Amino acid sequence: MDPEGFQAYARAALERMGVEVDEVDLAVMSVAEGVYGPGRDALLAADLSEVPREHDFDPSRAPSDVGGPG
Amino acid sequence: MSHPQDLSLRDQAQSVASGELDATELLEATLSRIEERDGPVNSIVDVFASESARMLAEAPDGPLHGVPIAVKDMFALPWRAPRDGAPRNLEGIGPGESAVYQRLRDAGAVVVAVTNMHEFGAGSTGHVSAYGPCGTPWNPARCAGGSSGGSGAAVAARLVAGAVGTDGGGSIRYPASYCGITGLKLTWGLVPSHGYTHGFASLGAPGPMCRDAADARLLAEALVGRPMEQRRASNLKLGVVRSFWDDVDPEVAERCDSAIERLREGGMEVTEVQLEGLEHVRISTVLRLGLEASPYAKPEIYAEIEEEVSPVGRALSKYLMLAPAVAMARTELVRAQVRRALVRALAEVDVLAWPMTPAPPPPIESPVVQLPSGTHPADYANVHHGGIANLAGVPAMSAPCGFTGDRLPVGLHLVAHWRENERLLDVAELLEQATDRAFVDAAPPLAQKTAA
Repeated sequence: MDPEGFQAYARAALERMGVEVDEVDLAVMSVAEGVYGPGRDALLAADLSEVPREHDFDPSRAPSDVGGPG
Repeated sequence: MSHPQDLSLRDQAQSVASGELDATELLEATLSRIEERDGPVNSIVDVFASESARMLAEAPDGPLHGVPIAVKDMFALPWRAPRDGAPRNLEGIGPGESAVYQRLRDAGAVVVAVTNMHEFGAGSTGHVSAYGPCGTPWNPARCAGGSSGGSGAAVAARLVAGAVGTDGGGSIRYPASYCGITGLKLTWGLVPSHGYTHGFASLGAPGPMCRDAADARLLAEALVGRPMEQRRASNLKLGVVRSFWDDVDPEVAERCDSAIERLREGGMEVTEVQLEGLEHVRISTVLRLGLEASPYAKPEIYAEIEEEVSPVGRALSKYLMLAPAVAMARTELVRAQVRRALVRALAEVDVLAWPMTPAPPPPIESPVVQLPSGTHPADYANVHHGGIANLAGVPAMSAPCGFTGDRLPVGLHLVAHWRENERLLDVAELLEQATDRAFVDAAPPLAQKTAA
Protein backbone atom coordinates (compact mmCIF):
# COMPACT_ATOMS: atom_id res chain seq x y z
CA MET A 1 0.00 0.00 0.00
CA ASP A 2 1.43 3.43 -0.91
CA PRO A 3 1.84 5.98 1.90
CA GLU A 4 -1.19 7.98 0.81
CA GLY A 5 -3.33 4.89 0.63
CA PHE A 6 -2.09 3.73 4.01
CA GLN A 7 -2.94 7.04 5.64
CA ALA A 8 -6.45 6.99 4.18
CA TYR A 9 -6.90 3.41 5.38
CA ALA A 10 -5.50 4.19 8.85
CA ARG A 11 -7.72 7.22 9.31
CA ALA A 12 -10.84 5.38 8.19
CA ALA A 13 -10.14 2.24 10.21
CA LEU A 14 -9.28 4.08 13.42
CA GLU A 15 -12.21 6.48 13.11
CA ARG A 16 -14.47 3.46 12.71
CA MET A 17 -13.07 2.26 16.04
CA GLY A 18 -13.81 5.67 17.55
CA VAL A 19 -10.14 6.61 17.77
CA GLU A 20 -9.20 10.13 16.77
CA VAL A 21 -6.14 10.60 14.61
CA ASP A 22 -4.26 13.75 13.73
CA GLU A 23 -1.58 14.54 11.19
CA VAL A 24 1.24 13.69 13.59
CA ASP A 25 -0.32 10.30 14.26
CA LEU A 26 -0.61 9.64 10.56
CA ALA A 27 2.95 10.72 9.86
CA VAL A 28 4.38 8.49 12.60
CA MET A 29 2.17 5.58 11.57
CA SER A 30 3.32 5.95 7.97
CA VAL A 31 6.93 5.66 9.07
CA ALA A 32 6.09 2.62 11.20
CA GLU A 33 4.23 1.06 8.30
CA GLY A 34 7.24 1.61 6.06
CA VAL A 35 9.47 -0.10 8.61
CA TYR A 36 7.28 -2.94 9.87
CA GLY A 37 4.66 -3.32 7.14
CA PRO A 38 6.83 -5.49 4.85
CA GLY A 39 7.63 -7.88 7.70
CA ARG A 40 3.97 -8.12 8.66
CA ASP A 41 2.99 -8.76 5.04
CA ALA A 42 5.68 -11.45 4.77
CA LEU A 43 4.33 -13.07 7.91
CA LEU A 44 0.82 -12.99 6.48
CA ALA A 45 2.05 -14.50 3.20
CA ALA A 46 4.26 -17.16 4.74
CA ASP A 47 3.27 -20.77 4.40
CA LEU A 48 3.24 -21.95 8.00
CA SER A 49 0.84 -24.79 7.33
CA GLU A 50 3.51 -27.38 8.17
CA VAL A 51 4.29 -25.86 11.55
CA PRO A 52 2.39 -27.70 14.27
CA ARG A 53 0.83 -25.59 16.99
CA GLU A 54 2.41 -26.05 20.39
CA HIS A 55 -0.44 -27.43 22.45
CA ASP A 56 1.19 -27.33 25.87
CA PHE A 57 2.87 -23.96 25.43
CA ASP A 58 4.68 -22.77 28.54
CA PRO A 59 7.41 -20.15 28.07
CA SER A 60 9.12 -21.25 31.28
CA ARG A 61 10.19 -24.55 29.79
CA ALA A 62 11.19 -26.19 26.53
CA PRO A 63 8.49 -27.49 24.22
CA SER A 64 7.86 -31.17 24.65
CA ASP A 65 6.93 -31.84 21.03
CA VAL A 66 10.14 -31.16 19.16
CA GLY A 67 9.62 -33.78 16.48
CA GLY A 68 8.23 -32.86 13.08
CA PRO A 69 8.76 -29.80 10.92
CA GLY A 70 9.41 -26.40 12.31
CA MET B 1 39.71 4.00 50.38
CA SER B 2 38.03 4.44 47.00
CA HIS B 3 34.39 5.42 46.75
CA PRO B 4 32.29 2.43 47.81
CA GLN B 5 30.35 2.53 44.54
CA ASP B 6 33.60 1.80 42.73
CA LEU B 7 33.54 -1.56 44.47
CA SER B 8 31.80 -4.50 42.88
CA LEU B 9 28.43 -5.59 44.21
CA ARG B 10 29.97 -8.65 45.85
CA ASP B 11 32.74 -6.58 47.42
CA GLN B 12 30.17 -4.19 48.82
CA ALA B 13 28.24 -7.12 50.28
CA GLN B 14 31.35 -8.75 51.71
CA SER B 15 32.66 -5.48 53.13
CA VAL B 16 29.36 -4.73 54.84
CA ALA B 17 29.15 -8.28 56.19
CA SER B 18 32.68 -8.15 57.55
CA GLY B 19 32.14 -4.75 59.15
CA GLU B 20 34.80 -3.17 56.98
CA LEU B 21 32.19 -0.95 55.33
CA ASP B 22 29.39 0.70 57.24
CA ALA B 23 26.08 0.18 55.41
CA THR B 24 24.79 3.61 56.39
CA GLU B 25 27.88 5.24 54.95
CA LEU B 26 27.50 3.15 51.81
CA LEU B 27 23.92 4.32 51.42
CA GLU B 28 24.82 7.96 51.98
CA ALA B 29 27.74 7.73 49.57
CA THR B 30 25.43 6.19 46.97
CA LEU B 31 22.86 8.94 47.30
CA SER B 32 25.62 11.56 47.03
CA ARG B 33 27.10 9.95 43.96
CA ILE B 34 23.73 9.82 42.23
CA GLU B 35 23.27 13.51 42.98
CA GLU B 36 26.75 14.44 41.77
CA ARG B 37 27.10 12.23 38.74
CA ASP B 38 23.76 11.35 37.17
CA GLY B 39 23.01 14.66 35.45
CA PRO B 40 24.54 13.99 32.02
CA VAL B 41 23.05 10.51 31.64
CA ASN B 42 19.67 10.95 33.38
CA SER B 43 19.53 7.35 34.55
CA ILE B 44 17.81 7.88 37.91
CA VAL B 45 14.29 9.27 38.15
CA ASP B 46 13.62 8.94 41.87
CA VAL B 47 15.82 8.45 44.94
CA PHE B 48 14.61 7.28 48.33
CA ALA B 49 16.68 8.70 51.15
CA SER B 50 14.19 8.03 53.91
CA GLU B 51 12.64 4.81 52.56
CA SER B 52 16.03 3.25 51.86
CA ALA B 53 17.24 4.23 55.34
CA ARG B 54 14.17 2.50 56.75
CA MET B 55 14.81 -0.58 54.62
CA LEU B 56 18.37 -0.62 55.89
CA ALA B 57 17.28 -0.36 59.50
CA GLU B 58 14.98 -3.34 59.01
CA ALA B 59 17.20 -5.32 56.62
CA PRO B 60 17.58 -8.98 57.50
CA ASP B 61 20.87 -10.77 57.23
CA GLY B 62 21.20 -11.94 53.69
CA PRO B 63 23.58 -12.10 50.74
CA LEU B 64 22.95 -8.45 49.87
CA HIS B 65 22.62 -7.09 53.39
CA GLY B 66 22.91 -3.31 53.30
CA VAL B 67 23.70 -3.11 49.59
CA PRO B 68 21.93 -0.40 47.55
CA ILE B 69 20.12 -1.58 44.43
CA ALA B 70 18.22 0.46 41.84
CA VAL B 71 15.11 -0.91 40.14
CA LYS B 72 13.44 -0.12 36.83
CA ASP B 73 10.28 1.98 36.83
CA MET B 74 8.13 -1.14 36.30
CA PHE B 75 8.00 -2.52 39.84
CA ALA B 76 5.64 -1.59 42.65
CA LEU B 77 7.37 -0.43 45.81
CA PRO B 78 5.48 0.00 49.07
CA TRP B 79 5.93 3.75 48.80
CA ARG B 80 5.73 4.25 45.03
CA ALA B 81 3.66 3.06 42.07
CA PRO B 82 5.58 2.15 38.93
CA ARG B 83 5.17 4.57 36.02
CA ASP B 84 6.69 2.71 33.05
CA GLY B 85 8.64 5.77 31.95
CA ALA B 86 5.33 7.57 31.50
CA PRO B 87 3.20 9.85 33.69
CA ARG B 88 1.44 6.72 35.04
CA ASN B 89 1.37 3.04 34.30
CA LEU B 90 -1.61 2.01 32.18
CA GLU B 91 -2.42 -1.13 34.16
CA GLY B 92 -3.50 0.72 37.29
CA ILE B 93 -0.80 -0.85 39.49
CA GLY B 94 -0.39 1.18 42.65
CA PRO B 95 2.19 1.17 45.43
CA GLY B 96 2.78 -2.24 46.96
CA GLU B 97 5.19 -5.10 47.35
CA SER B 98 6.21 -6.40 43.95
CA ALA B 99 7.94 -9.77 43.88
CA VAL B 100 11.18 -8.05 42.92
CA TYR B 101 10.91 -5.75 45.94
CA GLN B 102 10.19 -8.71 48.21
CA ARG B 103 13.11 -10.74 46.89
CA LEU B 104 15.50 -7.80 47.26
CA ARG B 105 14.24 -7.01 50.75
CA ASP B 106 14.51 -10.65 51.83
CA ALA B 107 18.12 -10.71 50.60
CA GLY B 108 18.84 -7.70 52.81
CA ALA B 109 19.20 -5.24 49.93
CA VAL B 110 18.16 -1.61 50.03
CA VAL B 111 16.13 -0.14 47.17
CA VAL B 112 17.81 3.22 46.76
CA ALA B 113 16.38 4.50 43.47
CA VAL B 114 14.15 3.95 40.47
CA THR B 115 15.74 4.07 37.05
CA ASN B 116 14.70 5.73 33.82
CA MET B 117 13.22 3.66 31.01
CA HIS B 118 11.83 3.92 27.50
CA GLU B 119 8.20 5.03 27.61
CA PHE B 120 5.93 2.02 28.34
CA GLY B 121 8.90 -0.23 27.64
CA ALA B 122 8.24 0.21 23.95
CA GLY B 123 11.71 0.85 22.58
CA SER B 124 15.28 -0.35 22.52
CA THR B 125 16.90 3.08 22.70
CA GLY B 126 15.73 4.83 25.89
CA HIS B 127 15.51 8.17 24.12
CA VAL B 128 11.74 8.51 24.71
CA SER B 129 10.67 8.85 28.34
CA ALA B 130 8.50 11.08 30.47
CA TYR B 131 11.69 11.80 32.40
CA GLY B 132 13.71 12.74 29.35
CA PRO B 133 16.18 10.70 27.34
CA CYS B 134 18.80 8.51 28.97
CA GLY B 135 22.36 8.48 27.61
CA THR B 136 25.09 5.90 27.82
CA PRO B 137 27.86 6.99 30.20
CA TRP B 138 30.33 6.20 27.41
CA ASN B 139 28.93 9.13 25.47
CA PRO B 140 25.81 10.75 26.96
CA ALA B 141 24.79 12.09 23.55
CA ARG B 142 24.17 8.49 22.54
CA CYS B 143 21.39 6.17 23.65
CA ALA B 144 21.70 4.12 26.83
CA GLY B 145 19.38 1.57 25.26
CA GLY B 146 15.95 0.44 26.21
CA SER B 147 13.84 -0.14 27.68
CA SER B 148 15.95 -0.66 30.83
CA GLY B 149 18.35 2.11 29.82
CA GLY B 150 18.44 3.80 33.20
CA SER B 151 19.43 0.58 34.92
CA GLY B 152 22.22 0.04 32.41
CA ALA B 153 23.50 3.60 32.59
CA ALA B 154 23.34 3.75 36.40
CA VAL B 155 25.51 0.66 36.71
CA ALA B 156 27.95 1.76 34.00
CA ALA B 157 28.29 5.19 35.63
CA ARG B 158 28.94 3.44 38.95
CA LEU B 159 26.02 5.07 40.68
CA VAL B 160 25.03 1.61 41.90
CA ALA B 161 26.73 -1.73 41.44
CA GLY B 162 23.51 -3.56 40.74
CA ALA B 163 20.19 -2.72 39.16
CA VAL B 164 17.13 -4.70 38.16
CA GLY B 165 15.81 -4.44 34.62
CA THR B 166 13.10 -6.17 32.66
CA ASP B 167 13.28 -7.68 29.21
CA GLY B 168 10.24 -8.18 26.98
CA GLY B 169 12.00 -7.92 23.63
CA GLY B 170 15.66 -7.43 24.57
CA SER B 171 15.16 -4.63 27.09
CA ILE B 172 17.86 -5.76 29.53
CA ARG B 173 20.29 -6.88 26.89
CA TYR B 174 20.30 -3.86 24.54
CA PRO B 175 21.12 -1.38 27.33
CA ALA B 176 23.69 -3.80 28.73
CA SER B 177 25.34 -3.78 25.30
CA TYR B 178 25.04 -0.01 24.83
CA CYS B 179 26.37 0.72 28.33
CA GLY B 180 29.13 -1.91 28.42
CA ILE B 181 27.74 -3.92 31.32
CA THR B 182 26.48 -7.44 31.95
CA GLY B 183 22.73 -7.97 31.68
CA LEU B 184 20.85 -11.24 32.10
CA LYS B 185 17.27 -11.91 31.09
CA LEU B 186 16.24 -14.79 33.26
CA THR B 187 14.08 -17.64 32.01
CA TRP B 188 10.47 -16.54 31.77
CA GLY B 189 8.59 -17.13 35.02
CA LEU B 190 11.62 -17.64 37.23
CA VAL B 191 10.77 -14.50 39.19
CA PRO B 192 7.09 -14.13 40.19
CA SER B 193 5.35 -11.40 38.24
CA HIS B 194 3.19 -9.65 40.82
CA GLY B 195 3.75 -5.93 41.02
CA TYR B 196 5.51 -5.90 37.64
CA THR B 197 3.59 -3.71 35.22
CA HIS B 198 4.08 -6.13 32.33
CA GLY B 199 3.64 -9.20 34.47
CA PHE B 200 0.80 -10.26 32.17
CA ALA B 201 3.14 -10.65 29.23
CA SER B 202 4.38 -13.95 27.89
CA LEU B 203 7.62 -12.33 26.76
CA GLY B 204 8.90 -10.27 29.69
CA ALA B 205 11.19 -11.29 32.52
CA PRO B 206 13.21 -9.37 35.11
CA GLY B 207 16.92 -9.80 35.53
CA PRO B 208 20.13 -8.41 36.98
CA MET B 209 22.22 -5.67 35.40
CA CYS B 210 25.72 -5.43 36.86
CA ARG B 211 29.26 -4.68 35.84
CA ASP B 212 30.34 -8.31 35.59
CA ALA B 213 29.01 -11.84 35.67
CA ALA B 214 29.89 -12.59 39.29
CA ASP B 215 27.84 -9.61 40.42
CA ALA B 216 25.02 -10.57 38.07
CA ARG B 217 25.05 -14.05 39.59
CA LEU B 218 24.78 -12.62 43.10
CA LEU B 219 21.88 -10.36 42.17
CA ALA B 220 20.19 -13.10 40.14
CA GLU B 221 20.37 -15.42 43.13
CA ALA B 222 18.53 -12.82 45.18
CA LEU B 223 15.88 -12.42 42.47
CA VAL B 224 15.24 -16.12 41.98
CA GLY B 225 15.68 -16.96 45.66
CA ARG B 226 18.12 -19.82 45.21
CA PRO B 227 21.83 -20.37 44.54
CA MET B 228 22.99 -20.30 40.93
CA GLU B 229 25.79 -22.79 40.82
CA GLN B 230 29.06 -21.77 39.22
CA ARG B 231 30.71 -24.31 36.97
CA ARG B 232 33.66 -24.42 34.65
CA ALA B 233 32.72 -23.17 31.21
CA SER B 234 35.88 -24.22 29.43
CA ASN B 235 34.45 -27.65 28.62
CA LEU B 236 31.20 -26.29 27.20
CA LYS B 237 30.24 -26.10 23.53
CA LEU B 238 29.50 -22.72 21.98
CA GLY B 239 27.26 -22.54 18.93
CA VAL B 240 27.83 -19.51 16.71
CA VAL B 241 24.75 -18.51 14.71
CA ARG B 242 26.57 -16.99 11.76
CA SER B 243 23.44 -15.66 10.03
CA PHE B 244 23.32 -12.88 12.64
CA TRP B 245 26.57 -11.51 11.21
CA ASP B 246 24.94 -10.91 7.81
CA ASP B 247 23.94 -7.31 8.47
CA VAL B 248 26.11 -5.99 11.27
CA ASP B 249 28.39 -2.99 11.70
CA PRO B 250 31.93 -4.15 10.80
CA GLU B 251 33.43 -3.11 14.12
CA VAL B 252 30.71 -4.94 16.06
CA ALA B 253 31.24 -8.02 13.91
CA GLU B 254 35.00 -7.95 14.52
CA ARG B 255 34.69 -7.50 18.31
CA CYS B 256 32.22 -10.38 18.57
CA ASP B 257 34.40 -12.60 16.40
CA SER B 258 37.34 -11.74 18.60
CA ALA B 259 35.38 -12.60 21.76
CA ILE B 260 34.42 -15.97 20.31
CA GLU B 261 38.07 -16.60 19.49
CA ARG B 262 38.99 -15.76 23.10
CA LEU B 263 36.37 -18.26 24.30
CA ARG B 264 37.82 -20.89 21.98
CA GLU B 265 41.29 -20.18 23.38
CA GLY B 266 39.76 -20.43 26.83
CA GLY B 267 38.82 -24.02 26.12
CA MET B 268 35.32 -23.89 24.67
CA GLU B 269 34.56 -25.97 21.64
CA VAL B 270 33.19 -23.58 19.05
CA THR B 271 30.98 -24.71 16.21
CA GLU B 272 28.58 -23.03 13.80
CA VAL B 273 24.88 -23.83 14.09
CA GLN B 274 21.79 -22.91 12.10
CA LEU B 275 18.55 -21.64 13.60
CA GLU B 276 15.43 -22.12 11.50
CA GLY B 277 12.52 -19.75 11.49
CA LEU B 278 14.39 -16.50 12.14
CA GLU B 279 12.81 -14.56 9.27
CA HIS B 280 9.64 -13.71 11.19
CA VAL B 281 11.14 -13.19 14.65
CA ARG B 282 11.33 -9.42 14.33
CA ILE B 283 7.70 -8.77 13.40
CA SER B 284 6.40 -11.48 15.72
CA THR B 285 8.19 -9.93 18.68
CA VAL B 286 6.99 -6.44 17.82
CA LEU B 287 3.38 -7.54 17.36
CA ARG B 288 3.27 -9.57 20.55
CA LEU B 289 4.99 -6.87 22.61
CA GLY B 290 2.47 -4.30 21.52
CA LEU B 291 -0.66 -6.37 21.44
CA GLU B 292 -0.27 -8.48 24.58
CA ALA B 293 -0.36 -5.23 26.54
CA SER B 294 -3.55 -3.88 25.04
CA PRO B 295 -6.13 -5.87 27.05
CA TYR B 296 -4.48 -4.80 30.30
CA ALA B 297 -4.27 -1.10 29.56
CA LYS B 298 -7.11 0.80 31.20
CA PRO B 299 -8.65 3.23 28.69
CA GLU B 300 -9.62 5.67 31.43
CA ILE B 301 -6.01 5.97 32.56
CA TYR B 302 -4.82 6.43 29.01
CA ALA B 303 -7.43 9.13 28.47
CA GLU B 304 -6.16 11.00 31.52
CA ILE B 305 -2.51 10.97 30.45
CA GLU B 306 -2.85 11.00 26.67
CA GLU B 307 -1.70 14.60 26.34
CA GLU B 308 1.48 13.79 28.27
CA VAL B 309 2.37 10.69 26.28
CA SER B 310 5.00 11.26 23.59
CA PRO B 311 3.63 11.82 20.07
CA VAL B 312 5.52 8.74 18.93
CA GLY B 313 4.11 6.57 21.72
CA ARG B 314 0.61 7.86 21.06
CA ALA B 315 0.81 7.18 17.33
CA LEU B 316 2.36 3.74 17.72
CA SER B 317 -0.37 2.67 20.13
CA LYS B 318 -2.86 3.55 17.41
CA TYR B 319 -0.79 1.87 14.71
CA LEU B 320 -0.89 -1.41 16.62
CA MET B 321 -4.67 -1.26 16.59
CA LEU B 322 -4.46 -1.76 12.83
CA ALA B 323 -2.57 -5.05 13.11
CA PRO B 324 -4.59 -7.88 11.57
CA ALA B 325 -5.67 -10.51 14.08
CA VAL B 326 -4.45 -13.22 11.72
CA ALA B 327 -0.92 -11.82 12.00
CA MET B 328 -1.06 -12.15 15.76
CA ALA B 329 -2.33 -15.72 15.41
CA ARG B 330 0.56 -16.50 13.09
CA THR B 331 3.07 -15.32 15.67
CA GLU B 332 2.04 -18.37 17.71
CA LEU B 333 3.34 -20.59 14.94
CA VAL B 334 6.53 -18.58 14.57
CA ARG B 335 6.99 -18.95 18.28
CA ALA B 336 6.47 -22.72 18.14
CA GLN B 337 8.93 -22.88 15.27
CA VAL B 338 11.74 -20.98 16.99
CA ARG B 339 11.21 -22.74 20.31
CA ARG B 340 11.64 -26.09 18.61
CA ALA B 341 14.63 -24.76 16.65
CA LEU B 342 16.27 -23.70 19.90
CA VAL B 343 15.68 -27.10 21.47
CA ARG B 344 17.38 -28.74 18.49
CA ALA B 345 20.30 -26.31 18.48
CA LEU B 346 20.78 -26.52 22.24
CA ALA B 347 20.87 -30.28 22.05
CA GLU B 348 24.09 -29.90 20.04
CA VAL B 349 25.73 -27.06 21.97
CA ASP B 350 25.43 -25.56 25.46
CA VAL B 351 25.25 -21.88 24.60
CA LEU B 352 24.51 -19.94 21.42
CA ALA B 353 26.26 -16.68 20.51
CA TRP B 354 25.87 -13.74 18.15
CA PRO B 355 26.23 -9.94 18.33
CA MET B 356 23.82 -8.43 20.86
CA THR B 357 23.09 -5.32 18.87
CA PRO B 358 23.98 -4.97 15.20
CA ALA B 359 25.50 -1.54 15.75
CA PRO B 360 26.91 0.60 18.57
CA PRO B 361 24.62 2.96 20.49
CA PRO B 362 23.05 5.50 18.12
CA PRO B 363 22.75 9.24 18.77
CA ILE B 364 19.85 10.27 21.00
CA GLU B 365 19.04 12.99 18.50
CA SER B 366 18.58 10.47 15.70
CA PRO B 367 18.40 6.86 16.91
CA VAL B 368 19.16 5.15 13.64
CA VAL B 369 21.97 2.74 12.86
CA GLN B 370 24.13 2.33 9.78
CA LEU B 371 24.34 -1.26 8.64
CA PRO B 372 25.67 -2.82 5.43
CA SER B 373 22.06 -2.97 4.18
CA GLY B 374 21.49 0.74 4.83
CA THR B 375 20.18 3.05 7.53
CA HIS B 376 17.55 1.62 9.87
CA PRO B 377 15.78 2.64 13.07
CA ALA B 378 17.73 1.08 15.95
CA ASP B 379 14.57 -0.62 17.22
CA TYR B 380 14.04 -2.39 13.93
CA ALA B 381 17.64 -3.59 13.81
CA ASN B 382 17.90 -4.62 17.45
CA VAL B 383 14.77 -6.69 17.80
CA HIS B 384 15.96 -9.06 15.09
CA HIS B 385 18.87 -9.99 17.36
CA GLY B 386 17.13 -10.00 20.74
CA GLY B 387 13.52 -11.01 20.17
CA ILE B 388 14.00 -14.75 19.78
CA ALA B 389 14.83 -15.22 23.47
CA ASN B 390 11.57 -13.52 24.41
CA LEU B 391 9.45 -15.47 21.98
CA ALA B 392 11.01 -18.66 23.28
CA GLY B 393 11.25 -17.83 26.99
CA VAL B 394 14.90 -18.90 27.21
CA PRO B 395 17.52 -17.09 29.30
CA ALA B 396 19.83 -14.76 27.43
CA MET B 397 22.43 -12.18 28.26
CA SER B 398 24.72 -9.51 26.90
CA ALA B 399 28.34 -9.70 27.98
CA PRO B 400 30.79 -6.85 27.31
CA CYS B 401 33.22 -7.89 24.59
CA GLY B 402 34.94 -4.79 23.30
CA PHE B 403 34.81 -1.19 22.17
CA THR B 404 34.55 0.49 18.81
CA GLY B 405 37.17 2.95 17.64
CA ASP B 406 34.96 5.69 19.11
CA ARG B 407 35.11 3.93 22.48
CA LEU B 408 31.51 2.75 22.37
CA PRO B 409 30.78 -0.61 24.00
CA VAL B 410 29.97 -3.83 22.15
CA GLY B 411 28.12 -6.78 23.68
CA LEU B 412 28.12 -10.47 22.85
CA HIS B 413 24.70 -12.12 23.00
CA LEU B 414 24.61 -15.49 24.75
CA VAL B 415 21.52 -17.73 24.77
CA ALA B 416 21.01 -20.97 26.69
CA HIS B 417 18.43 -23.65 27.40
CA TRP B 418 15.45 -22.80 29.63
CA ARG B 419 17.09 -24.56 32.60
CA GLU B 420 20.57 -23.17 32.09
CA ASN B 421 20.68 -19.57 33.31
CA GLU B 422 23.87 -20.41 35.18
CA ARG B 423 25.68 -21.53 32.03
CA LEU B 424 25.36 -18.04 30.57
CA LEU B 425 27.06 -16.58 33.62
CA ASP B 426 29.76 -19.25 33.44
CA VAL B 427 30.52 -18.39 29.82
CA ALA B 428 30.53 -14.67 30.56
CA GLU B 429 33.01 -15.25 33.38
CA LEU B 430 35.22 -17.27 31.05
CA LEU B 431 35.12 -14.39 28.57
CA GLU B 432 36.13 -11.98 31.33
CA GLN B 433 39.08 -14.19 32.25
CA ALA B 434 40.08 -14.68 28.64
CA THR B 435 40.13 -10.92 28.07
CA ASP B 436 41.86 -10.03 31.34
CA ARG B 437 38.66 -8.28 32.45
CA ALA B 438 39.54 -5.46 30.05
CA PHE B 439 35.90 -4.76 29.15
CA VAL B 440 34.11 -5.29 32.45
CA ASP B 441 36.61 -3.24 34.45
CA ALA B 442 36.76 -0.34 32.00
CA ALA B 443 35.17 2.82 33.39
CA PRO B 444 33.47 5.34 31.11
CA PRO B 445 34.92 8.87 30.95
CA LEU B 446 32.13 10.21 33.12
CA ALA B 447 33.10 7.78 35.89
CA GLN B 448 36.81 8.45 35.55
CA LYS B 449 36.38 12.22 35.64
CA THR B 450 34.53 12.50 38.92
CA ALA B 451 36.13 9.52 40.62
CA ALA B 452 39.39 11.41 40.99
